[in-house]
Amino acid sequence: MNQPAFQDILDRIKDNDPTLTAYRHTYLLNQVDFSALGVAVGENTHLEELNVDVRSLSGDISTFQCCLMV
Amino acid sequence: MLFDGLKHNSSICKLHLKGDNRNTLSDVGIEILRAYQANSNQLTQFTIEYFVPLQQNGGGGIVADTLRCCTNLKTIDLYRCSITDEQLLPMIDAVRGHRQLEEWELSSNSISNVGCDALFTLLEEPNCNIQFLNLQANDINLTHEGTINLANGLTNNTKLQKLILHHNPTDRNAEVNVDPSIVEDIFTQLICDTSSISSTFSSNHTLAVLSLPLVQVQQLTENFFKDTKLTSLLKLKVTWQSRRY
Repeated sequence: MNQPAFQDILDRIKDNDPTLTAYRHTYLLNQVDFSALGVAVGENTHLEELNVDVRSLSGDISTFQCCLMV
Repeated sequence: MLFDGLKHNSSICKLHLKGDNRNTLSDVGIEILRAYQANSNQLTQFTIEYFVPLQQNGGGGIVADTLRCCTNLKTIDLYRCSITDEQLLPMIDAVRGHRQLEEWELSSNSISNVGCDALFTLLEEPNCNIQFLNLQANDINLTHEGTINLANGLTNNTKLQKLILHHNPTDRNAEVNVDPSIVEDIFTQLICDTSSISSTFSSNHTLAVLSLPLVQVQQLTENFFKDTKLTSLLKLKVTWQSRRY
């Protein structure tokens, strides 16, 4: 199964989609994505789990692996 | 940034940070933990997995600070983070009084006897609600004296159901091995001291699984429950309790 684009997931988080309850994918985020995710998460009331994976990367916030479980 | 979002979010209750053996906790991880120090009430499950070594970059201290803030945690999972006794002690202090805490996963770290003893002291506290504690694959050297201390610490505990201690140095070092029959005797007495009815009554009837380096006490408990006389005594305890209340 193809992984949905990060933007699709972001939109669902932003729209506070209550059906987004058991979903897990990994995205490599740049700083712009990271900021957008922060805004979306701040307004969301249905996300229950946040999974952040920083493996194999430098560990700074310019780019890192983010695994979202919602 | 994500960190600001997490400070305002009211629904995320499970946080999982994962690294590998090349990562310290990293700027990202530390900022996320700081966000949860500011927004701590909703977090019930906290996992930091495979950060080696956690102690670099101040990771150990910030984890303890975050644990202190998150008073509603039910599960803490710190698997393979190279946690030492020095790092564990402030974490133990941090969770003192966290009555919701039921599970603490600490396997594959570098905890030795000092940290282990401190954990058992925590278990002795009456408001400690930890039901599962995993100390598998650490540096705990369970001696004869240590086994007695462990058993003594669990005598009055009515919450802990599962304690895992295998794959520690006692498994690997024949010189420090405790005689398995002595260990068995000590824990037999802990689970059901048959020296008197009163002792049987006050024995630990909560612990169901105890995996030590040398003996599986789960088997002991199973054998106990096959013993009809013992079963009668345990029923007796229930009867006494119901009368008391």
